[in-house]
Amino acid sequence: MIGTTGEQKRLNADTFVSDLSLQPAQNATDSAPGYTQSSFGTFDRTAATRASRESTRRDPSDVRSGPGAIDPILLNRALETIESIDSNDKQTFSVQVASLGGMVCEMWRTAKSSSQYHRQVLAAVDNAIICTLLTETLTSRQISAIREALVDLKSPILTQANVDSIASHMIDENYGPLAMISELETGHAIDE
Amino acid sequence: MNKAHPKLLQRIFQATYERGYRYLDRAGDVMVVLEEMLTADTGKLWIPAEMQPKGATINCPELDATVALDAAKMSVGQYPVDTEIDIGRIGSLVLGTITGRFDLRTMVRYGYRSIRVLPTDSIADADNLSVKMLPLASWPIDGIDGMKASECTAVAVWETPAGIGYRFQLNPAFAPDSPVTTDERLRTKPRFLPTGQREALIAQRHRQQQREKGPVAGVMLDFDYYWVRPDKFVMKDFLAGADALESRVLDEVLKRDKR
Repeated sequence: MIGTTGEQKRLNADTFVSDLSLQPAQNATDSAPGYTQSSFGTFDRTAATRASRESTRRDPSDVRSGPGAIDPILLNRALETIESIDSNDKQTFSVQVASLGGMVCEMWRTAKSSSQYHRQVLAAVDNAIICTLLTETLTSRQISAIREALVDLKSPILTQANVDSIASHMIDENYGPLAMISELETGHAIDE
Repeated sequence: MNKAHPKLLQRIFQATYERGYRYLDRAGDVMVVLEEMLTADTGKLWIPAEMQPKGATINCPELDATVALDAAKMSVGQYPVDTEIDIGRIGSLVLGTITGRFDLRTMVRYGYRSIRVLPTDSIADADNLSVKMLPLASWPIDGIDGMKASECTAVAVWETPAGIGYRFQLNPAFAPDSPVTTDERLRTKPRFLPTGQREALIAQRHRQQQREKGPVAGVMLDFDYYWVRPDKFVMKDFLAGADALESRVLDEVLKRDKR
């Protein structure tokens, strides 16, 4: 860890308290909501909460979720590998991507006890790695998409929204269902 | 006056990060995911409240919890703290969701803050208690021209070279509707009253319960524990560290509550 300078500390203190919608009192320190340190004004502490309390939405049971995550050790290793991928050196690149593919294969073993959403996200990662192996290219945005999926897989709970979000990001980065057939030219082919 | 335990008013977990600019591209995506994920995890409804370039919030009215995020920081807060929630788990879920979507690489600071109040009956009582609880013996100037300390506020930040630290603040605080002083007759012990001892005792108990449930004035104890740029962050360890340190600090401070 790195120590902080005085300036850093002040900035942190400021940003930390400003989030709480608390009333500023002296310098960077605040009093509790609903309480005033001296007689400096008042604080409407629950107006926002009351407003949101009145609104009604769908029942929480409408949201389906699946518990159970993939092996966290494998996921951490995969994240370290994806962070260190060097696409300039062809030989190292193919070894790293192959290694990543091996880890994803191993993840399928632990996916047996995970939810359908974890499996769907894992399938998206698997597809992305296979595409990368075929095309031998990996842009920083594609790295970001794979990393996002791997970070999501670490979550103990996923929903359909996670799957949709990952799928959308993967397709944006040319990891669509047709990517393997057209060697990642899908986007361009449609444009042309 | 009977001694009261400090009441937890508010608690917050916050993480600040660098280069969270993708907030502007993917905030909508994050809100959709968080709405479903947090609802599924807690079994309570989470409702997106605001989404602006400057920041977005999503609330759970049933749990009095709020998640706020922007390009520089995210926080999970609960106010008032009337229901039990796993703030660490919610924090981890939110942090995991935004780490991937905002493509976050460097976390600057993790903080956990709790705000408690040691209840009193009036503003004057709160001021007096703050004077009793603060170490005025080491104050450089003693009373001048017969002046006496009537109200005290203290704040100190302690930090290791590794970037682990805490800020602790103690000060009198009051709600706008709190009484300025307490009627001296209310302080009289019921057994010393010539008549109506039972009624007075019941009224005293009622006031005590009211004071502990919804304090209108008191001494505020504000504890903020943080890690700056840690090499490795594990939420469980971080919150355990915050809890342990807060207990030690509060134990020492509450010894000074000599009412």
